[in-house]
Amino acid sequence: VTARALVLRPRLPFLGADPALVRAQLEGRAVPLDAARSLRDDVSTDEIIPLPAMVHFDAALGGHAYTGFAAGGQRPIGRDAVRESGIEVVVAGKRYGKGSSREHSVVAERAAGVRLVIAESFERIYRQNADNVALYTSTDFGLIDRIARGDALGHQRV
Amino acid sequence: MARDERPMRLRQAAHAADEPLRQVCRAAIHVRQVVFEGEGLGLDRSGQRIAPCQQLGTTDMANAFVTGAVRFTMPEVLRIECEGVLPPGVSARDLVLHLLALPPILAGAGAGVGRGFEFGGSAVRALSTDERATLTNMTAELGGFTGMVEPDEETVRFLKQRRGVDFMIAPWMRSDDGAAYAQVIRIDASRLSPMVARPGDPGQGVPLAQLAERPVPAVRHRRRARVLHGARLPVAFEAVGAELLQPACGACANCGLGASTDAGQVSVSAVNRNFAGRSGPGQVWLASPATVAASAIAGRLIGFAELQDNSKP
Repeated sequence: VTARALVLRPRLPFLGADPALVRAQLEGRAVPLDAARSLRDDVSTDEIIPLPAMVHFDAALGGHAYTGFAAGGQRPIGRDAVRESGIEVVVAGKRYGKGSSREHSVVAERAAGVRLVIAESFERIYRQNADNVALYTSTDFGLIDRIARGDALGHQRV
Repeated sequence: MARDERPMRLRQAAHAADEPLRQVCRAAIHVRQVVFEGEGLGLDRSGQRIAPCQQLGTTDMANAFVTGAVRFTMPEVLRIECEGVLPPGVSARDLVLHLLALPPILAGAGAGVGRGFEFGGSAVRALSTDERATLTNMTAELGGFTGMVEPDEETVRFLKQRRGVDFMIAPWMRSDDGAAYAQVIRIDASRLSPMVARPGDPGQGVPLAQLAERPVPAVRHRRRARVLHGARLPVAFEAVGAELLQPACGACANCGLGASTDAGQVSVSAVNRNFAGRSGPGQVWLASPATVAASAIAGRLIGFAELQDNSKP
């Protein structure tokens, strides 16, 4: 626990089950959480960083973040989309980070500029990997309003 | 067993642990002593002891190489009690796909996430070590921290044959009576049937018998052939023009033979996971090895017993 505060840009793409809404958010349109429902559950590390991108091991991973994300039978998040968007917070449903224990997934998210992932729940290894590379994780959906207001968040387990 | 006999057994176990690890495309570190003297395998009454084998990310792995230590929180333990006799053609894989689709495991944050899994009961005791390894290996899909099967005479046989370790089962090798499990899930083995998981997530399991439409795998056979009763699998595969690949990571992790190459392809596979895009752009149905073999022969998703019935003269 440190005294340093974390202020995050109030753009939070919700990883929803509707690919059109995901695209709209990447294009800069604000979508309220209610509209983004239902959030995608079981987002796997294969979707966060598809295996072919694992030829990279450094910042280059950032351009591939979420390119495997599947919604409605589509892959609405393209190369560099999140990295170029200035997005710092990502929101998803239950059991985020399922599957492969690849640390590349959290490194890709960090390298794409993501600081915090808010999800209804996380898989154990994903969360441990996130801790190891200083990607914040939280199950507190109350943070969404606080970030939108521009509140400074404490550095406790957010 | 007298306590003073323990160090000898543990030295034997430690000696076995010094042998090269049989690991497939994975970095691994092997602690010198799997279980330290005075500790037990399994869960004690207070929930303070467990002997884990767990998966790690790169940073944790690097830390382990340097320090020999791994950071983790002591997990609570789920006991899977599977009693009864598995019907013919139903295997550990079907049991795991059934477990993955069970409401407590599937719903909400998942009862298995971060927990230790202990598998026991008469149906588990009847399984070979290979089948038991399916249970512990698939613990990752259950969200679990680690999985173990209560050691018994089959464990003794396996370790003697494969590792040259001779030992006797002792009470400390299993959980205490009255151990405080987070939850006990009871399964009636006799009610299980061949399971498949729909493409997208290992938790999307459904009994094959309840599947109205049977997907047809992309790989079609050069010719159809009636499978003779009693024919060995390689003979049956050859008869239908199916090709056997060497065991490898490729088909699962999309890094070699067996992965799909376009979105229209359908695979029936005994790999661990079928997340979107994992094994190529196609659709992966998870099934048991018996169901995969039967489907390869029939050219459509079908159970082994079902295939045998269909091919009766």
